[in-house]
Amino acid sequence: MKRKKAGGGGRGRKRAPRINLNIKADQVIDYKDTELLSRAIGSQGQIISRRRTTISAQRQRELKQAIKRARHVGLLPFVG
Amino acid sequence: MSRTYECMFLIDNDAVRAGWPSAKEAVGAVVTKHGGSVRTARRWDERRLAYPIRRRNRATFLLSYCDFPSDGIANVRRDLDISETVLRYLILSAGEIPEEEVELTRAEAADEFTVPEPPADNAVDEPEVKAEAPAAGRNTYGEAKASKEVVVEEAGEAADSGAVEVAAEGGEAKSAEAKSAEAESAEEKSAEAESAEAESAEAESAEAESVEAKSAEAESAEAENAEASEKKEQSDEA
Repeated sequence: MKRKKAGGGGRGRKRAPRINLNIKADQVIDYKDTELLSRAIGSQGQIISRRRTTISAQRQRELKQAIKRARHVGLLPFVG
Repeated sequence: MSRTYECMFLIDNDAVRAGWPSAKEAVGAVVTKHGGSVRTARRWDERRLAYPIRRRNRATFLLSYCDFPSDGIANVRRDLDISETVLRYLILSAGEIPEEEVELTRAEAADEFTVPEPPADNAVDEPEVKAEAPAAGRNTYGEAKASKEVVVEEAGEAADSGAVEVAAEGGEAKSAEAKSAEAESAEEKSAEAESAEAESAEAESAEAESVEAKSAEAESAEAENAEASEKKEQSDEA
């Protein structure tokens, strides 16, 4: 008896794994908050994209700025 | 016209060992030299740097709120770049000084406040426990999937062994029992297996088994059973 193989097309692209940063609505994203910022960078120190952080564009800009400031003062790595 | 700025200075730990008040004073002198004024200044933390700065692996962070005249910052920056006490600095414009900073500065000015001795430059901080939520999620998903597969395999094995036993005994009455047992096992399997493919495979095997049960001769039943199990193996492989 012939059988179709499982899987294949029609399932679309796999969804990017999300991270939950738990940023409160009234919270100011500060470069000194390394606990938060270290969750928003990848294993090699790259800033995690908005597709995965799922925060608003404005929040992502604030996050990006904070990470870059933290990097400047040696709180976060540029690489690694 | 002057504005308030939030300034973070990375102070060389050698300067801190020589004396925290003098190190703080050295930074304050640079600020006041160009017409600025220090509103608050406190030791924020001492920690390992993410990468070496001026060949230092650790530094003490001085968080300060200062007023600068609008044309003063460029001169302050130039002096800080030359300074050997300050490894690096970050100056940001700030709307107003948080009350917490004022209180902490006052606490630091008290007599009983002492700055702990900075550790050696190569000292390592306590390893922080990183919460990697996405990675953990993937792992649990993988484990769940794996456990499901194991359950299905076990059910399949149980059904096979049951059929073999019944076939060896022969007899119509017992074969009827076997029918019911097989039907039950098939039901269980169908409940556990989720994919449509797995269900269809079970249905096929159930049909083959019912044919076996009807046959009176034990030998022929055995032979058919062997065939059925082969078939099933093939289907599983596919």
